[in-house]
Amino acid sequence: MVWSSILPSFLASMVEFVEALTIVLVVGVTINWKSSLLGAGVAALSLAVLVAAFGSTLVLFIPIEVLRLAIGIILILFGLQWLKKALLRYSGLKAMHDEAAIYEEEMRQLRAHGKIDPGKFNGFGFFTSYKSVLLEGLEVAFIVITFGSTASTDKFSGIWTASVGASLALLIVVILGLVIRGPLTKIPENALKFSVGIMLVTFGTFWAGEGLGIQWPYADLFLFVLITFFLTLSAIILNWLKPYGIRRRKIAGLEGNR
Amino acid sequence: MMKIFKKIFYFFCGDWRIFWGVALTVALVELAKSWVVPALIMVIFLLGISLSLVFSLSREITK
Repeated sequence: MVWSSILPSFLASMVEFVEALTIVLVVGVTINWKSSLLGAGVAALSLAVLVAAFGSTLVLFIPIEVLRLAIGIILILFGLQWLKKALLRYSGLKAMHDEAAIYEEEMRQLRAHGKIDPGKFNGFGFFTSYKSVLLEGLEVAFIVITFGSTASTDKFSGIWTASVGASLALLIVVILGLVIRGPLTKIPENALKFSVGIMLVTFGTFWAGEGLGIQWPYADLFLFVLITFFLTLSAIILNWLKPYGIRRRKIAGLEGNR
Repeated sequence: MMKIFKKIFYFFCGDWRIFWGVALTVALVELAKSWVVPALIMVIFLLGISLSLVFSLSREITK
């Protein structure tokens, strides 16, 4: 099941890299590129060390059955969070993730930080960039390791294929960032978040179920039944939430007119 | 230290309702495994996960 480790890693990484790139761009534009890129580079190195340490521990010491149950449960928790956020945004109960607005807000905050020498290394810029790349990257690393080590019987090749998906996403996001030289507003982040949420919950349910001793009918083909189930559930939930979203927007509009 | 633990918990679980919903579902499946037919176990598992999401979202409506 190569696709089952490449696709979720690719989509999830895309979302996280867009968020990280927004901050790196802001720091680069407002402070200087030296501090921004150095922060991003050191964060990437820290991530590589974490992945090597935790990834190899998982691969070498934990049996696949135990791994599937534990990772399955964590993926369900992770996936339900992503799904919840995406459904709240689709229904209007939560504002859409606006990279342009985040970009502007970060710019305002950094400018408020004081006068900056564009030629000199700046510690604040370095740590802002480092923190954002490390935190967003940790989610990517987590998805790559979990999907990679459970999707395939050969855990090493599984992690390798999942890394290919993540690297591909990084490449696309960096190229888009270089071309656009601004926040990546065209990427449908909520749609990506929703798709990743569905995937994480689906695979999490499947693996945790296997770990709990559930024999899924038709083996791996049951994944499609689970995807359909969670898509239908999301549609029902969205139908239930939409009137509340409309009402909340109306109230916000009325308060805004006062 | 507690701050670090809280941050780790938030990173993985984020929402207490989802966390307890899933934890309860897993415990229920483990308990029911020996005396309930396999098809019903599957239903309990899927229902538990779905309800965890629904309960967590219902809190957002009342906010």
